[in-house]
Amino acid sequence: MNEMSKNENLDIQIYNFAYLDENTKRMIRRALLKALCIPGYQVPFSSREMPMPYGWGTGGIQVTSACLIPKDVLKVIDQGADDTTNAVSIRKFFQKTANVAVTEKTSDASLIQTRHRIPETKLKEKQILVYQVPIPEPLRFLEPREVETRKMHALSEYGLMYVKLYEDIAKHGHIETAYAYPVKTNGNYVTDPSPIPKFDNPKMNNSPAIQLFGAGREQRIYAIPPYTNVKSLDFEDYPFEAMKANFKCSICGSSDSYLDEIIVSDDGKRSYICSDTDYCKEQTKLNSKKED
Amino acid sequence: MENYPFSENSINSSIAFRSLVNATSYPGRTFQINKLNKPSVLSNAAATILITLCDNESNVYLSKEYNTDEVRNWLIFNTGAIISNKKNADFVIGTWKSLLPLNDFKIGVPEYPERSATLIIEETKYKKVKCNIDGPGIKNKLNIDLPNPELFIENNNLYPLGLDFYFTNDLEILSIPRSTKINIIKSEL
Amino acid sequence: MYVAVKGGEVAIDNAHSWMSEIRRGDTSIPNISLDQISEQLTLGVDRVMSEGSLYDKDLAALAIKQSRGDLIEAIFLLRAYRTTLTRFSYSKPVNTANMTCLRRISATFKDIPGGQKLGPTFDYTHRLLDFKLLAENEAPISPKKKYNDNKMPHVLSFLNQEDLMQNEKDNNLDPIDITREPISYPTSRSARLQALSRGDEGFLLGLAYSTQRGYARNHAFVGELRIGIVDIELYIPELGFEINVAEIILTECETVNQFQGSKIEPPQFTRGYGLVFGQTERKALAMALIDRALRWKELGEDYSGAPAQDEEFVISHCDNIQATGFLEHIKLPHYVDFQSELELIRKIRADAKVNMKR
Repeated sequence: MNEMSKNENLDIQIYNFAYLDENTKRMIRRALLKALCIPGYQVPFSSREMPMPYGWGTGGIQVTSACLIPKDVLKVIDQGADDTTNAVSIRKFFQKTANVAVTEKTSDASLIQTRHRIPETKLKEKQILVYQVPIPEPLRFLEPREVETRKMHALSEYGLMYVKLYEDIAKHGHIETAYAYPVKTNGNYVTDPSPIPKFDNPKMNNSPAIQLFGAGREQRIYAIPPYTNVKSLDFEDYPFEAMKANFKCSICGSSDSYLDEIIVSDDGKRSYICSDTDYCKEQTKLNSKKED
Repeated sequence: MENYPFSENSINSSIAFRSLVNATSYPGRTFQINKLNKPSVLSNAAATILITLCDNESNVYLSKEYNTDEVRNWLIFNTGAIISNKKNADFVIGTWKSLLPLNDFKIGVPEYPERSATLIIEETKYKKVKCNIDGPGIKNKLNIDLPNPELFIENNNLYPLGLDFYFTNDLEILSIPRSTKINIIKSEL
Repeated sequence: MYVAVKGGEVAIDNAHSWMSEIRRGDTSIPNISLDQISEQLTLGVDRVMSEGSLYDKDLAALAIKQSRGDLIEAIFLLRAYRTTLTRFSYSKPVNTANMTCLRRISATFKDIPGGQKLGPTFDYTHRLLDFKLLAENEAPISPKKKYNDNKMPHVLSFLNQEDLMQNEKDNNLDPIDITREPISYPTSRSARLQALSRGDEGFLLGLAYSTQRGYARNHAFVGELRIGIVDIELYIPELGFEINVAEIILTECETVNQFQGSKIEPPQFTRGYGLVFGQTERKALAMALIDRALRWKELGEDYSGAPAQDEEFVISHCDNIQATGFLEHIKLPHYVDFQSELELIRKIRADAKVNMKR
């Protein structure tokens, strides 16, 4: 009780570096290393209650907490943006508990925690990308039972998934999955890429960076090591197709980045802007240099 | 930095863990580990792996030359780990020769492939064979020397089951996880 | 130029300071003290302690105050605090047969050794608003002698004597701790009981009710419901013996359920079990009913497909902190995902229109 009533600035002394205690970190660290050894396989871990709600990034936060070092430069994004409320909240949490430097610049960050996007700027070796994952099981909506889905992964029995995708094509002429589009990792496990738009899927393939996934409520950790084959599921006659709004960003003019649609007037006029705020800033800078 | 081992020192353990993440992510490459206070027979790198990862739920098998009072007491005092036999071991430590055959170590089960042993191979005085490795974490095929590469090939054939290896040498660490594919270039005579 | 959600940090700070102001309410009214909460809102405190899995009345009271009386929010605060605590040791199993009972009733026998004891209960109160409570200084009078020293053996032990009750054998395994290892299915009864004991009262109540209405019906008699004080004993290796470290209040419920018997076993009664921190009898009753429903496999009963029989369904959805977090996360921005859905639906509709014209 006494400890709790102390000044908030003392939190960093009351709690361990980056919040989690050493024993919890050990358990998470063991899971992370096994996850890296078995790309795309979901390792169960005994997720802890965090001071943020389940579903708000507790898996990613636990992974980040277990990985952070004092020298890290941390970037946190939600929907591609550094200034969305939950990204702000998570970034503040690690500034307070780990006292790490933070940045909005993708290229300056050594560890990036993300929800729903992969940055547009190409990632580099030894950069760590931590994904917040709500439902880590790609088969969950086809088969709700863990006992069953675990068997399917063990037997590489993914027929159900292909049937679902094929039914979409038969019905609509398209695969009806626009985000959280399943991938096959290292030719073995079907993996949930977290709810990123399928536009981002190709960035996972053969990335030089280390990709770690944390699902707190569902108690799963998985990983995609660098230079790993990550293939979006598709059919020969219906190859996978990344997709974005066919417009230019109305701020930086970029036509190759993922765009958010915004409603700019009462009569419903639409405009499009980069979802990746750092990328948009960088492009804007480049443009002004060119003009000079 | 003299106050290792760092069971209470979360900053040093985090730095050590980052080296392990890098080593595991980029198999076949060497990464550096810091010095720590440890039993003389253990390398800094091997001691770091044990201290960073083990707790009172971890079963550790020590091969003959490491199964000394000093190592056991140090390990139990700092981590609470359980000294175990080969079959139940989560972490295994020994020289290459002392750990053969590898068949006794657990390789996981299809539903839970992660329930497998992590082997820490100390010292490098084994017969080396030039190999070429490929797989997750390896950008362009890498040449490295391995002991008995046929055993690593066998291990990779079990994938996604199998053993995961760390080679430790003083302050250096290098990993060969089960996902790494091995091609033998030629045996050294 | 319209810019999407800038200034998140300022917005968050403003929202939080407004929330603190509203939490305090009208400052001309005295601040509520933790003592007032822990003494006068005891059942709320008990619920927060049980679902928060931390027996500490002061912290539970603080959590209730901080959460403006939102008990799930208070449970969350307690859980998040609990995770940060170091585990020094595990206590010996508590012996509920030695409980000093505040309340102890059996619906199966009219009289029992140690006697029936109603204790502080809402049962048989007429649910009429008591306007006397509007007066602020009421000091109720209650019987002087609250506890008696009667030995109160478990009622079900008398059925055990006749072998009419299925014997619960000790499997000599340490119980699973679901806060330390992830649950894998099928799981053990110990893991199930822990999950249920921490589970949401409302969820358990609804599920237990469903078994009474025929979804995995297994008629339950309340063999015994007891609420009282038990000792927490800790073995101290340095001393070589156990010492008493705390007294806590628990609610325990044992139900007596029918069992048809099988080819190899004659019919026998079976048990559903509930054990919860504090005075939490609705929860303990519900827990016992669900525990019994989940035992269908072990007892060789049919699986009727009822929700209360489905271990994975019950255990993975009973935790209100997990549930509320995931439910409420849909308030977070999802515009990236939504954008990809927009693009897809536009594309599909455009294609469909072309096809229809053809």
